[in-house]
Amino acid sequence: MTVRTALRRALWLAIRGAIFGTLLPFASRVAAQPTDPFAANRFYGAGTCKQCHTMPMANNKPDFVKLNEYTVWRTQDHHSSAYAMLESPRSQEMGRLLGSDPKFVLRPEAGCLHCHSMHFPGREGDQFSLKDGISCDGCHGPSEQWIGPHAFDKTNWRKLSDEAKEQKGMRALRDPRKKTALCASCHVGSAAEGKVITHAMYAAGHPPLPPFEVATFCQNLPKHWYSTKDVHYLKQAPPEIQERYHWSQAPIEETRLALIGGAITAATEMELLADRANVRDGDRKQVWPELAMPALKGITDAGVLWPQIAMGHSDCASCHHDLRTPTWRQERRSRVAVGGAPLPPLRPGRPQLDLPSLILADLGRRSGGPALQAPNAAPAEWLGDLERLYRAWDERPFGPPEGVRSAAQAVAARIRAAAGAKPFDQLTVAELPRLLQRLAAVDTGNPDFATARQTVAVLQVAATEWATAGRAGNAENIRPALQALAAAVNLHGAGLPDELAQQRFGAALAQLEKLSGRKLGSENQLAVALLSADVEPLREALSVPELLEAFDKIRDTALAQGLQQLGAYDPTAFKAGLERVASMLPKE
Amino acid sequence: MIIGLLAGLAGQVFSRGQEPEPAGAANPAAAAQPTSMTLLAYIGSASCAASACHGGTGGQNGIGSEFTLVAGNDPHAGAYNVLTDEPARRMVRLYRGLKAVGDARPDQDSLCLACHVLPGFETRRRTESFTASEGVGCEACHGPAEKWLAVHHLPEWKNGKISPAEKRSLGMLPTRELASRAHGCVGCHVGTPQAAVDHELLAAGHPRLAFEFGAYHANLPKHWRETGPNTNPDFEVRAWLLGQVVTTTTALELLAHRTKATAQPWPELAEFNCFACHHDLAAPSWRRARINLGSFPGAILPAEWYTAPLRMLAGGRRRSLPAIGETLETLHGLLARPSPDRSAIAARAGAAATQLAAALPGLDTVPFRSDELHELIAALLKQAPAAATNWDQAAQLYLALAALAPTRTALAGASRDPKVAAALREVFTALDFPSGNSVRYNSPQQFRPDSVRQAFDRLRTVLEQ
Repeated sequence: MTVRTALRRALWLAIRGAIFGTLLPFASRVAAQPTDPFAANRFYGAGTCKQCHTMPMANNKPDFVKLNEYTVWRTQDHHSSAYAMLESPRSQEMGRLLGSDPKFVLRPEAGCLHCHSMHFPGREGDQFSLKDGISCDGCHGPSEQWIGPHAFDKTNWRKLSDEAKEQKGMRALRDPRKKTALCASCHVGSAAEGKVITHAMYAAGHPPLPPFEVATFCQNLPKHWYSTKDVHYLKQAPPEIQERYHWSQAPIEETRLALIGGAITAATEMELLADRANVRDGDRKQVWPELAMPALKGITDAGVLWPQIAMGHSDCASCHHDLRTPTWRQERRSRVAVGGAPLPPLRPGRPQLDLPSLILADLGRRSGGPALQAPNAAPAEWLGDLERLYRAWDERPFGPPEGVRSAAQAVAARIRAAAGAKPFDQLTVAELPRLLQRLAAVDTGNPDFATARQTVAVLQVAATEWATAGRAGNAENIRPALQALAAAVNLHGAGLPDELAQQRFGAALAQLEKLSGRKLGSENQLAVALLSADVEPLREALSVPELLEAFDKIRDTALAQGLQQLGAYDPTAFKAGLERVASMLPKE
Repeated sequence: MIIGLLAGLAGQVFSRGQEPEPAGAANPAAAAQPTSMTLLAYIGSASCAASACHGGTGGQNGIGSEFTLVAGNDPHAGAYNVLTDEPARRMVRLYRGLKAVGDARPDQDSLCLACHVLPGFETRRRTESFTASEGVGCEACHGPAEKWLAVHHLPEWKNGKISPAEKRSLGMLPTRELASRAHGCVGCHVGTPQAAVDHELLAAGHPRLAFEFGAYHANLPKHWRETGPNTNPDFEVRAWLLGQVVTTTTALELLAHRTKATAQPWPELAEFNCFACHHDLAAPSWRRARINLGSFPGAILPAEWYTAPLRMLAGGRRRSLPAIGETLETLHGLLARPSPDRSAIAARAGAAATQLAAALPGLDTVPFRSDELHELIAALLKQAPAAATNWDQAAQLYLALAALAPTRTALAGASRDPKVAAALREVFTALDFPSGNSVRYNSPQQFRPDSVRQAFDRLRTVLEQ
């Protein structure tokens, strides 16, 4: 098939689809409003979106969205293989270890499906497939009611407020709070939704969840949408429409996302800990997937499992390190100071809590405007709760669950309140240098690997935005220093180290070339091949065993590198690097 | 410390069993310890050090120079001194949660002194002449000298007119008896409810205690001359077996205490396998392959240093060994549960300790024969493939074979086999902790089950020849 005929076929398919086919019924299916569309509406699946979001058409310019989202998602975004990876050799081994069955991970009670797929029984639309992993309406919201209006009544749809769109089930992903809450529900976890990773899963082979920083992770997807300031439609829109899309904050969009998102992420971490520690009360199947392991059959009381549960919320490297002399681990005196106030000193020999994003909540609070007036204002109220949490956790290894639960719940509420406060949102580009200064200010104590990584992630986001705004006198100088720090904490531009990201894309591309029977040398050729292929064979081609094996290998290589960095991490060297960055910044 | 133990032991392996002598009479001494010595006072090693008594400078086989030999060669003599060093102060600062290193006084901390000077230091009566700076001195092992100092050099003391029971009642411990020696060591080297190294102290920097009586005994610079049954060629093996029973008993008593005493934090991580958690994370990992059915991935594995040897010996028709294997298995299973049940463990551990203690009297009185050792070695080697997945098991297996194999050769009247020594050395190398110029490991950073298994395989081939 030539490019021209493929294009023609694709166009025809789209038109046929739009007029006679799948889309028409949706447009008229505006039934009675359910109370919560996100909990009730159906998911129509990526196959539906593919028709319009694979490549821009001549008569459909990308004035709002890029229109190649499906292509990016299907070939580069790991979310599209989230389910397929459950059938990879690594997952089969995990299944054997966790449940004496290679397919254990595919069973709902194992818990894996809650993050690796959109497991909403009874809400599957025509083109929906569990095998698509996390697809379009997984993030954008179940499309049953909005797919019609957003496609056929574009002009009016764009003018709607976030709330109006939410009533139809479309999630307001340009809102940092809503976006982060969604991502963090898997990337941190959500007990209520059964999105829980356990120590047993890690021990069986699940890679450690990297600390979640929403702005960096969105860049690494790779990002399939325009930054607000680059949306052509908004540039010409009247001010009231612009403001619906946070236009005035567009120049500082990413930093805001990182800071507000950081607080949301930190709160999510705390809530997950609190829910999991609430061993007297909770849905056993959802909150504690440990109980589904056949080896623990007969255990009904989650309290009996507490040390196991708690290990899933501990800093891996606080226990998992070879014993070296000399070691910085016996030099540390205190935790990273949050809010500039001292926290109880570390008790030797106690496993440490894994709360990588606490530092982000604190950075957000310290950066709170207007104009960074009160950098250390009023931290006392949530520091008291935090201290209570650490004391409970250290009372004995992993602490008594009830003490941990009550303190974690209190801290989570404090962070939620801080994240909801208005001043948080009012940062301006002019304030970026001062913000960067504060981000790079070295706290006392030794940050753990995850805390260090989160700090660098936000620094990078803010520094990039500062440079983009054209105000950065010496942004170019700090970039190499920041990159060196990032490399030491396993932060990469595309999530994976460049070479591995390319290998991964190459492996997927090879399968698509096999399917379409020809070389796909350009972006357009690739998009055309996707557009002209049916959904089912595409899905098959991208989940063949040899590809999953290749993905496993690439991920293992990345994992080996990352774990090596975790083992070699030295907070003293990290703090020195941070000081170097700070010294390059203009003084406050 | 473990490196030291193994390195020292490796040296010992080559010299073991070199002086075969005909089997002597069984050791008649009872293993009983004086139940209370709190009334007798410790007077200090200075009282022993007169040049005419034990402070000589040489002499025949060191007789009369015991104090001098200990002061010069035996690490026990420096046990107090390490408490005055910087590392000890840093350790105590962390352990006691003190602000500054300067605030830390390990040299006055009763927990430290209880092993670095005298068992139960604080509760002991001590005369003015006693100074802590002597470290673990003569009386720590030989007993408080208040009552026996003046009489122990008299002819009546030596010619049998004063009975062993009378000597004990005066406070002198019967250190000629292996069991007495072992009991003397374990109070500190394994730990007691009064003085134990818990996980907090380990994390603060205290070296791990991994006591194996046979190897420690062989490595201790001797300030005495063995007599009687202690000169028999099977001595190393008897010491090894008796040491295992005494050591395991003490470890079980400590476990029972830790699980019984509600004031103790539980889980006490020192009761779990150090290297099950303490290893750098790596991909790919050999560790997933050892997750077996019945357990689950990510379980905290119980410590096996003190139970592995007797578990490995269980099952066969080992003479005079208590049938403890099943109890130890059950205990292991209880500890491996997701939330180990304190009272169930306390009950089992206490019962197992009692059972083992009852088996002790007479345990080292029956001499080993060469064919019996042959059988024992074969039985132990059968455990090698399983033991090779776990450093503690593998290291204990190595220590056992390092005692057994040369002794068997000696008992058979053969000369030392350099091939056996080389094969043992290979196992040792596979278990060693790496060290370089800037970093020293206290964990088996390069431990790989395959290499350990292969090394044991080669040892078996050599031993079967």
